[in-house]
Amino acid sequence: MISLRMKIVAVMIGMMILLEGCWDTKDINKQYLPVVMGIGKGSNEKYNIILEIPDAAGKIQFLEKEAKSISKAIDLIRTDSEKSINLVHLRLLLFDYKIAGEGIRDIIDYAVRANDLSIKGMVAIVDGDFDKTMYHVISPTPEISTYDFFNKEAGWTPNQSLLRIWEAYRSQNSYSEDMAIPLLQNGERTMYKFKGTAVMREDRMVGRLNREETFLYNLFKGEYTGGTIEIAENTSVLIKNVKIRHYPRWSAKGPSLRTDITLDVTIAEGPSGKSNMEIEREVRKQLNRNFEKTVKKLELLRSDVLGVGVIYRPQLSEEQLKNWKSEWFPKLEQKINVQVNVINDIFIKNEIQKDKTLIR
Amino acid sequence: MNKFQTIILFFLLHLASIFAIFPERMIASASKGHWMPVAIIFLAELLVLWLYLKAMSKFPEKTVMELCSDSIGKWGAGLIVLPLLVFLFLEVVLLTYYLSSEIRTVLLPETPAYATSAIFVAICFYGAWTGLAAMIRASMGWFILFMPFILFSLLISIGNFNFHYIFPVWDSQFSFLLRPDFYVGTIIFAGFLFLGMTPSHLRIRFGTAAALVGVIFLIALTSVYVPLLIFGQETAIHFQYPMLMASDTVDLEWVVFDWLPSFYVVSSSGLGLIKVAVLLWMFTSMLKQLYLPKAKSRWILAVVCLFLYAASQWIPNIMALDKFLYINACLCLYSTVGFPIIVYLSTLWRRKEVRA
Repeated sequence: MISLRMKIVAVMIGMMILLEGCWDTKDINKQYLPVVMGIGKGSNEKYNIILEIPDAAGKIQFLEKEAKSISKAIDLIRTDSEKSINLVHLRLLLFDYKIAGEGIRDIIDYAVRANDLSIKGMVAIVDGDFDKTMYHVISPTPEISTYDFFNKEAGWTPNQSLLRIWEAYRSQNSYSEDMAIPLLQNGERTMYKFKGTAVMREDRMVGRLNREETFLYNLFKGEYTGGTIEIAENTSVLIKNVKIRHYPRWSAKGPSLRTDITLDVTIAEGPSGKSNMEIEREVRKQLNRNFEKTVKKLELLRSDVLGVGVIYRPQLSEEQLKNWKSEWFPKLEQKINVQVNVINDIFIKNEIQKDKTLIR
Repeated sequence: MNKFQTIILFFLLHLASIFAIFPERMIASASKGHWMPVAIIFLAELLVLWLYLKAMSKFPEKTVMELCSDSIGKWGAGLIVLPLLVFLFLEVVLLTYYLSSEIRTVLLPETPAYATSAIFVAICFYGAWTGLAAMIRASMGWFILFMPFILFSLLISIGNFNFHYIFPVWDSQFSFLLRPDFYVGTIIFAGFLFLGMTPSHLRIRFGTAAALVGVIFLIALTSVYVPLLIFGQETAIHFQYPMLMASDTVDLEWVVFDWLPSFYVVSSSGLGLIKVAVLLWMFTSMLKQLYLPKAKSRWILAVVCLFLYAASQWIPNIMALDKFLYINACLCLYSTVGFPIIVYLSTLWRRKEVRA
């Protein structure tokens, strides 16, 4: 039998436990929940922080302050705002182009360190007028459209690169890879326009890839869902499946990597009279050429955004791993072989067997 | 059926360390080949466990305390057990501090330390109050309640794995043996000490225990390698709670899963509760048997809990916690490796005496 006293004790403990969570709690309607944070260069201070806060009515509110550090700027924003500011729903960090050129290490460190900021948020660089992009509003604004722009379940395509805060943190600490950050600009009818990818060395922006090169970057990393390759007028293929095999070698001269990429494609558009074989060959030639150019470009930038160091990890000793970026990566010889296989998951037969009956 | 519950408690107590302190220390202890320190720790545990259970099985109706005081006298036993007592108390204090600060970091940033640890100590006090037999029974419920959370937070981040980060896999110098963090990892041993204090019908055989240690080894290995495979060694060493960070990398649209670290904290603190409660009970019953036979055990428990609360408030920061963990590692080695060996030797000695 449980005595009355024990029951009272149990109820009291239960109440204590529940009240614990309500300590200094703030009502959700007394809080601003920003989804985007813009980090620009201030005119007087180091940083200019802009917070984008969507509200239930579908409008966006902007709050802005300058300070020497990010958390101080947020503190100043909090000082002037009517409500409290909670960063738990922050999903996108936008850097000014100039900040990215000077290094973003401290900002990424801050984002990982902050308890209330989730490390699954995304990072992007504004290419162009920072303020204009930040204050760009389309109407009606879907509440989280900024986030959906990158979301793989929503608006993402293999033409866009994507980087999360934890990946950025990993890359800037890693011995064996560098990061690539998407470049954005305000769109006309859309929220953003994708401009390409910033190539980073350590935490600094050193170059850029355009949209086609970004696509190759994604292909190399195995992110291809729904990708389209255009070869000539009226000719494009749709990637269905990609197999990537790396053959890392290590000779006296240094590392040399051969990568075989086999694409299963269907022909989305093809002019009549062009056989599958021809299209296959053209796709292969074009991809090989473009890959070669892109790899050469990255080599000159000395940035391992493709993560070749990670591929070499099984073969490297700890010492070699530590020197990967400085000593071995510049010596790397990289070759990419593309194979194309047309699988016809479409409603039209292969053209070549048909007689030409059209009269022009 | 009862034995099954003992098995579950054994399992949960080990999991408690896996969800607090252990993975982070293992990652810090080696720069490559992290499976090696983990494997060595578990091999050592198997050995010690064998000695301990062997000693216990010779005198099935007695607890470790009685064994010790029978063979080497009351004073000798008092001396041998003293470091063990200090270890248990330190361990309980550190775990309380660690878990309440983890809860504050992730779930309740506004709640002050004295409130979170008050609740924590109060629940553990209640657990220890009900006694070991009750806790062994409760472990079943704990298992059903927390196992889904545990598995979930262990494996949810599997999509972000990059298996190349396993490498390099071999550490030919065994450099981890020189790092203090490796020895801090031995606190996972504290999970088997209670086996010496269970009533005789709840004892488990070595075969069962060894199989369990095998399962726990796999889980421990997972807990170390999940952060490593996601972040890589260079990055994972920066994290205070690597497993927690690993679960935060998962992006699921569903609102329930918006803040996945909370699943980790729930399982971590739930397991921590039962571990602290069991260790508290061990502490008070040893104290009573060897030093304060006349005092009522519940009063001892109450006083101990007060001390525990005060001590966990007194630790100023995580750096101090680190320092205490290093000190505690020495005591831990004594009480989890030295003590079972002493118990084993003393039973051998006693047998000879009985025969002669």
